[in-house]
Amino acid sequence: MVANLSKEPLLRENLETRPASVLVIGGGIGGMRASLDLADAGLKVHLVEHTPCLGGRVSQLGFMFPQHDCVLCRGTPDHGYGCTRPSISPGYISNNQHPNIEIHTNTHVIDVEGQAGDFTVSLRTEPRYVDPARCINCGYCSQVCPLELPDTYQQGITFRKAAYKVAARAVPDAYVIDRHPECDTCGKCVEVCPTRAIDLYQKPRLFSLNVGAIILALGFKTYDPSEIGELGFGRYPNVLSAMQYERLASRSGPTEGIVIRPSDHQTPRSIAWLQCIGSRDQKITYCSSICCMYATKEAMLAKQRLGNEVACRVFIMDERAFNKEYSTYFAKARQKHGIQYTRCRVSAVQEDPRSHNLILKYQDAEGQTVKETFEMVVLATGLGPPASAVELAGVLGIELNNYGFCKTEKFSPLQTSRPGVFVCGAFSSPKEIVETIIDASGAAAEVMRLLNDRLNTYPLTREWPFLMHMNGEKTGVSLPPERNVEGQPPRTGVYLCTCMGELAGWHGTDQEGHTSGSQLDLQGLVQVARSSPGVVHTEVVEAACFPEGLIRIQAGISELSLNRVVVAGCSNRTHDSLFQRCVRQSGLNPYLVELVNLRDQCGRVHLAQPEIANRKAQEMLRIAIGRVAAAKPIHKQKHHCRPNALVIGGGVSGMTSALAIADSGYDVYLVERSNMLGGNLLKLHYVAEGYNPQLLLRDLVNRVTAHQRIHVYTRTEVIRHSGHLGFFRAELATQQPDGSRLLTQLEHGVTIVATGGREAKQHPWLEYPQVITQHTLEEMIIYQPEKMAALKNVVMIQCVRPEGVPDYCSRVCCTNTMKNAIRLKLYNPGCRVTVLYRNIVTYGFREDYYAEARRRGVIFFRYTDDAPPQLSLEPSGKRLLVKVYDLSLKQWVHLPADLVPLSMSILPADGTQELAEMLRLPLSSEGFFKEAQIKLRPMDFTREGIFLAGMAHYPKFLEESTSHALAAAARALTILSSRDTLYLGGVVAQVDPTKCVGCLTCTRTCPFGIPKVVEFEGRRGVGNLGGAAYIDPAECQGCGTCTGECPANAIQLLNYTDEQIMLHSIKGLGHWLPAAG
Amino acid sequence: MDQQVTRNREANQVWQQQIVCYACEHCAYAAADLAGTLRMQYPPSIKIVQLPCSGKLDVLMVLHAFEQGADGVMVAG
Repeated sequence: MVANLSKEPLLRENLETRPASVLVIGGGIGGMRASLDLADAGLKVHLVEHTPCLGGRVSQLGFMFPQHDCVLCRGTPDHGYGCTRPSISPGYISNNQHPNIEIHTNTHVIDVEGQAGDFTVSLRTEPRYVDPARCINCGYCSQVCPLELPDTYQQGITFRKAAYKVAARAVPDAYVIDRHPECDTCGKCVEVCPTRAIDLYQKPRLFSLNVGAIILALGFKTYDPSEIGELGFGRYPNVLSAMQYERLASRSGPTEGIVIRPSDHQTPRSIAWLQCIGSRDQKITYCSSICCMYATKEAMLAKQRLGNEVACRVFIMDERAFNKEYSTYFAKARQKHGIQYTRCRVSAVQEDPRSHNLILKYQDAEGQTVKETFEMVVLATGLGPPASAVELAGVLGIELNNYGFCKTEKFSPLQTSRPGVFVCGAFSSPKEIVETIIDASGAAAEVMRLLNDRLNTYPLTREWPFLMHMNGEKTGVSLPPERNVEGQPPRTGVYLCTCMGELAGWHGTDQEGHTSGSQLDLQGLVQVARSSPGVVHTEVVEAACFPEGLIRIQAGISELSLNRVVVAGCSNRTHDSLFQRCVRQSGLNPYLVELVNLRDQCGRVHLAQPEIANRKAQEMLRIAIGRVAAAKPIHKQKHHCRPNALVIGGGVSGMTSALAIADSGYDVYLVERSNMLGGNLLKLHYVAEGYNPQLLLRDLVNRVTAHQRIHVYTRTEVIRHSGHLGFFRAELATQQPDGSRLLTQLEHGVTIVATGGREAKQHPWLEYPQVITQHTLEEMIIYQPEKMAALKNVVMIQCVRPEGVPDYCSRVCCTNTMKNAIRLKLYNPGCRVTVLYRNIVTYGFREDYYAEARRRGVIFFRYTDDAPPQLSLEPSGKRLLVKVYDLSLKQWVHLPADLVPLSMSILPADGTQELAEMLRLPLSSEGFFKEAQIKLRPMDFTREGIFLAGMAHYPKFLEESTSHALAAAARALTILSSRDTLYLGGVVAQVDPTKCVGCLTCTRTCPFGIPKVVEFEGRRGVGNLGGAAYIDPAECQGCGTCTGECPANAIQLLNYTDEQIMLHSIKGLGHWLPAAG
Repeated sequence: MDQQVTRNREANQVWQQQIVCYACEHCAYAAADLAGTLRMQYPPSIKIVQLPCSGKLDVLMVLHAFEQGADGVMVAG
């Protein structure tokens, strides 16, 4: 005891000197996602990107399969940073940037020293030559710049200036100078810059950081198709790489989304896609995993944009559509859009030199050699390890695998060979966006576990995170108490921003001869402001967003006791947070400020009609003054987050999630329906990679049962579940040995659904004794090896699904089949193993097992749904006869079989439907749980506080389930770590119970199922109905759908009340009259 | 109302129709901002009203816009 006491202060001292910060290398979607989760858990994040802006590959893609949306509307600053689309992601948008994230662009890591928990990293920042804090995006530097260079963002299709902005919505939102020797004597950009933001003699900066852990999110490099000369890339103008096509098809691309032929700028009438360029060949043996899907997307875009008459043909080897909704996507491409798929690998492209059309020779389905002319050819290039992989691996001291990607182990898919260094995304194997997002959050969970003693070192002011300064001070912010403005008549201050002369000038004067900026009439605007009701102060500021401008606003609030503020200039989308923070620092509620978007929605877009634009500007100003007068302060409610999690399902996912949460210092209730932990892992005996999964099982079960923070409930089901994020209530029913049920009541902060999946067992063929499932085969291989070695003929059939089960790829079966087929061949090389398949889906490095199976003599036979295989008993009655239609010989072939293992569909676990109803969660068309958003939020639900892990989401490999479980744990930890400062509500819908007639319209229209008709606290509805609608502010997402639908107009959305929208915004139109004055 | 419209026309010399656009703040409103960044030109007679979601739109809001002299209403989201 005495010894303990003496140790304690020493320990605490140690804790405080150890860094509570994390280095994330790579500012693509993976790095951004990981940073947000870490920052939300109260760790400081240094996000390092070697290019001038964040976003990575995803920022170059116009559309994502399978929904073709860019999903930018899915997240709001208050709701979980759901959208991680780089340029508009709320967590990264300028002025609203997460207070715990520091972005270092143009920066490289040059050295790493130390060990897990305490690294010292040396970095070098190359000069940007433009100060992002002073750049106002006027673009003058680019206009005067004489130097033109190929635009790498547009894949070299167009040119840009040396002074340029990478993309219209780059983060940081500022220009950059690609300095060339010519700049030495030019310097025009320096002269023209109105804010003096440019310094052409900026020097590189060397600095070092002390961090506890490192996450690598380096992404990938696309294959350079000019390495295969026969394809003509670089020689024939109309042969494009897939990324070039993406840019052409993107709205922000060089042609604004119209695909044209580079040779003659005409839209092509026929396009061919060649798959597996730089994948699945002799040199690069692995499968790049994403090309089948993106080629299909690109073909669909061609049909949608250029018209249905465009002929699209995809030359494909296997259709690898192995994720949720992807099979349906392929079916839609084929049936609705008429995209042709030809199973053939085209080895060479010829060009007609006059028309620049391209000639492909291939074998059609009939086996005939066909010569077809296409007007454009797109090469579906594969993914390779990032260019910086080798160098960084040397700096970091991590190992790379045989393919040059980061080396990871199957049971710890996010850990590199160096402790404390984690990896996510395509740097560990070719991956698409959704897998990258899962990995990124999962890697964040690994870091939280490692730095568990340092979580919440940088806590957020969670009521309004944007109110916090971005300087990352440990103490947070101290804001003055809020002034009570209730009942006071509006005293509005109007601040008109000239944007350094770019936006508005005094009428008739031309400031410094700039021609491109809009010149709104300031005099007119000042007059309108002065004559508007409630306005007591009008002031013109040069740049409201600069510290000088902000000080003017704050001075106005304190000296003139303003209680409302209008700032006319920038967009509220980018600058709301800045001015909200500004007024709150002076004691005003952040919702008492209104912005007038003069720059992006008036000045810049009506250059040709200055007269009418001026009147519109005055109109917009009047509307804003009216709206702000009706504004009311908005507050959030403070909640206490229950510091524990409920994990439903005790398989590998459930156990992994539980351990990650418990290791980070929170209690976990782990509920398992059967009598022991393990789930599907109990029946997994060996894996293709050669690891022993039973060791993992033992390790997980031992750690879970021994963990003092994990409470395991076996033979238990959840029978009741209610509440909201931070405060759920559940009732558990445990089956007792005597047959009775023991009920347990729980209160918990978050719930993780990890109920898993199972192999289907129903099929008429399974009635034959020789027909088994692959799972059974695996058990027989382990338990009856002699019997298996004696087999002579084995016919394996892939993609067998019971009646009524939708057609989707179960993802893991092909690799399992390879694993078992190889094992049979090892036991007995003379055994004839035939695999009947539709598509072999051994994506990523798993392609090697397919190659090994072929090398060992496993025979592969493709069948189609038009002529599926048939089974019958041989006359002798001992063996089965499998009939399969040979697509090249065009006849039925009979294969005798001693054993017929089937790859059955993987179904969601029994009881998924009931659980979904209890938790009020939706299911996907395949019957699995439906996540909040298919690409960007794969571990979240639209109901906040509940997360999804493992096979309950979709069939998955062990390593994928592990990543997914960690990802769910990371999301859960961001909430649990808020402890007593969980703020919910804010801009939410409120019901006036005296107007509610209880018609249930809101309960039907709410996309989240939140409104309820209840009676409490005297809410009785119109005419004492005995109940009125109630919208829990802790759950409401603030979309306002109910307010639009309510027939009694009983619901109002805060900050968008009728008073604010109807009377002022729209009535303003009535004043669309000759300009004032 | 008619009087208002007539005055409107006189003021503009060339009559321009008044369009009220209700825009979801996450997508359409952001797209309008992007148009600004790219300096894409469109007639000033389009007025954009920001909504938190196009689901917020109320039939009354559309009618109200017409009542106040709008010639057309556009919902983008």
